[in-house]
Amino acid sequence: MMIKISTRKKLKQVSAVLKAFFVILVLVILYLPILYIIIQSVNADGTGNTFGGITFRWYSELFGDPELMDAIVNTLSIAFISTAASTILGTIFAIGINSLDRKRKQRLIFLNNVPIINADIVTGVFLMLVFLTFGRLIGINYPLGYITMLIAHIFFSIPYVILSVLPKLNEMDPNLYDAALDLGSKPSEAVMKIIVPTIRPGIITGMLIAFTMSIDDFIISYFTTGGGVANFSIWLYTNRKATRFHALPKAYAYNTVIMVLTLAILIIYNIIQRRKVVKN
Amino acid sequence: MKRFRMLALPYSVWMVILVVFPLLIMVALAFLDIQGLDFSTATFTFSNFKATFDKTYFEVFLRSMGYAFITTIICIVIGYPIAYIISKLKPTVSFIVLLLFILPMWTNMLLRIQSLNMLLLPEGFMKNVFGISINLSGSTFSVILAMVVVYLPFMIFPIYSVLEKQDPLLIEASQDLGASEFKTFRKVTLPLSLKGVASGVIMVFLPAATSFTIPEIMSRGKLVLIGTIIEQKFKSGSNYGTGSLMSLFLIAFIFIAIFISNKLDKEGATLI
Amino acid sequence: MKKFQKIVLILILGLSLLLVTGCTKKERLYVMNWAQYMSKDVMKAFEKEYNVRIVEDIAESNELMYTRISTNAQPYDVMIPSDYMIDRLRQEGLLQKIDFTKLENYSHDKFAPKVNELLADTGLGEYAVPYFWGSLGIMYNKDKAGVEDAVKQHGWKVLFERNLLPEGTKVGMYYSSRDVIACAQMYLNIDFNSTADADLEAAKNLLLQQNYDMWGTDDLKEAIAAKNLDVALVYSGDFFDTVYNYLYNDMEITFDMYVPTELNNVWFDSMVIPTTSKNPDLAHKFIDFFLEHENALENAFEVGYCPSLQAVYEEMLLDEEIQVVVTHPAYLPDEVNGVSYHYLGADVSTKMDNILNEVRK
Repeated sequence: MMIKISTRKKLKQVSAVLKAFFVILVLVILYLPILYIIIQSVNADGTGNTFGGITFRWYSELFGDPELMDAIVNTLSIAFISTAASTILGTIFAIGINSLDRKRKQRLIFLNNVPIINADIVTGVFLMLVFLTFGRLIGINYPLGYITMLIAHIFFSIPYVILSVLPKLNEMDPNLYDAALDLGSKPSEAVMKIIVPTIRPGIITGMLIAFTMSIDDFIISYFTTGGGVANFSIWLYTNRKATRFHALPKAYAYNTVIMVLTLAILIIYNIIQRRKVVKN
Repeated sequence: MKRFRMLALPYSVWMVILVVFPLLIMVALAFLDIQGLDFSTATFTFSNFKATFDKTYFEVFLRSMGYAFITTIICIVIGYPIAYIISKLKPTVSFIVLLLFILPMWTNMLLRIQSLNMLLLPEGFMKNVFGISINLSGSTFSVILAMVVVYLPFMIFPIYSVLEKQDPLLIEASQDLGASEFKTFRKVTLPLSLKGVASGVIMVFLPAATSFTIPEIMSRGKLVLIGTIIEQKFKSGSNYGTGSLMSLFLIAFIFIAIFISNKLDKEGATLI
Repeated sequence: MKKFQKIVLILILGLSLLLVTGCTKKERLYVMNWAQYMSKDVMKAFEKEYNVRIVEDIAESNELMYTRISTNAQPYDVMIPSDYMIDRLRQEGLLQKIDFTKLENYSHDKFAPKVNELLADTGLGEYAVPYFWGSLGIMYNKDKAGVEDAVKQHGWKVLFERNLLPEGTKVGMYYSSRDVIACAQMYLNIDFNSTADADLEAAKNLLLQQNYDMWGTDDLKEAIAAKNLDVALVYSGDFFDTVYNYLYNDMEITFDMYVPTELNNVWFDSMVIPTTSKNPDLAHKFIDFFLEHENALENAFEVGYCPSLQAVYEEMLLDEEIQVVVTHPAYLPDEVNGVSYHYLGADVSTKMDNILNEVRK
């Protein structure tokens, strides 16, 4: 088809605008609840039914509540550690699974998907059982606590990392690695310089999903923790019934802080990247 | 690449302890009438089977599959184009847009879903402050909307990841040979991206099938899905057998679905 | 690299957290309780007096409490479940008898007479020390014309006969199988502690004919306060929670609660000692501490629900700030004609759960 260049350019412009519009529309719908959360976090009317003016009292109550702060620190520390661990382990395991024969691959992928389909409560109850059983086997009568919660988070995050990395591994040309070895590079070098960069989008998306799964988990954490160690979700689910202690406004405040912080980091990252491009 | 097989070994061990062992216990529980997890007083029974394959629960199961299916389809229809658009952006911009899609997930899901629900209720904040009074809460629409809002990023991400850094030489070659952008997409890009779609389907359909918080809140408690029932069975403390059997049934169902799709797709274009 | 630094930083954070939490060598008391159901200050005073550390796990429901205790996930010394759950734990042999000789501050007549009645009726007297109590009720939106009158005139009937309520009234139901079936049975004048199949069927058939605008638990009270519901079955505690919240935020209270007194369910939570306790002596000291008048008073003020100790209740009546709460007819359920739930066994509970699944639509 021979189309004039100017028309083609216009078509491209129109399609670009349409594409941007579509993406922005979806983003707006995704962010409407977030906007609601942010507005409510500064709402002087803690019941949330009307807008009573702007206040930051919920933020000061948030930071002044030691139990809540403990829970938040647990949430964040477990999120970061489990994300790092599950991303690294998930990537390694994905590379392993990818090189298996078809039958073994199918088996492991099936097992991999079991935690994803199981209702959270099923995963939670049975992880608790596993921890209690194996803990008692090695002489720890009451093993539940921070460490078991952490292991649980790593456990349910790895499948998502694997699912993100596997398609990318599959897409990769399998001969690249062997070619690199033939050209004299060491195996570890070949992995880091050939495989990892190729599957990088998979690793990054897997990491982001793992973080998401961890930061928001309630019921699995509930069952696998002990000794009074709570995370934010546990705090919220158990405290929201006691509306007289205004858990909700404090929760809004906390979530707004998370949003604002990550957006700020994003903007700073963007600025740094632009400076890099300019420098080059 | 065969040398990497050993890397899968630790994962197998990990899976045996944390997945296979519980699965075996679940199979055992499916045949037991048990108080909590007290095996010493448990009795053998088939009553769990009667409970699971009961007409009411079967309806609930089908309903759940229906909701999960619709959610997945909508997520593909919206998610694939978005993943495609993002993958064509400059790398730094694409990373930021990608992050924008997952950022909302870093707020607490309960809060976010309740907030979404508040936006759809006739009374309360929206009415008192903005005069907006929609009454869409408690409907099928509100449930599906919330499910899509929650699960969309899980579809976008794996598709984006396979589309990103797809061998540009392939695209160039296709276009050099005279194919239009659309045809290139259809014949080159799309088939290669199917594995990403498959991952997305797994990460959306499976959790959507057993989700219970979202339908609970968005339907104002009127919608009972299989996740609701399984949760109830495990919370009751005396129905671990039924709960286990129901979960096993779901796992088996998915296993069969994946098995069939593997057989239909001999050259491994989608899953394996 | 940014990612690497992030990882290191948080590994340090995580490790330091581990060190901090593992540090204390004091004796520990494991408590399982509801959120905000015990004064932090009084707990700290206990910790100081006995030089111990209280480790508090928070329960989200009685059922989750049961799961933790039945799987022996943690060696809880003291738990505070609701009446029917205490009954269940007792029936399954998971509770120790309270050694009343170890409780200096305990005396049978210190409790409200109705509480003692409930203890006698449920047979839990040897295992439980009552804590807070209340009843079921109907919370309603005062601003919807005609609703208040209908509720006060008809009681439970308004939940099952829609024509008694003004047109367009939105009705909500509690989706806990026990409560909704008990409510239906009260309307049908059936004993809600009956295990007869026919009684369950009757409740089921009644509920199948209903069409509620919302099924919820603690979100029912918020919906009424926001006017997204006009009438709902709630716990008295739910209602007072909301009242306190609106008082705190200086917002107008447009809702109220009516407690049917001719026939109702009265609930009470109690302190119990599970058999898994490794430290029953300390557990008794803990319970005793909360029976001491000044401590109980401070605790009751902070928690806000109706205390089962009569003297504490009477002293709370004198406080100006919470008059609107403590003088409300729903606060003290002593006039209510009703009993608490007995645990009816696993089979009946399962049947009730199944009924709930069928009637929710």
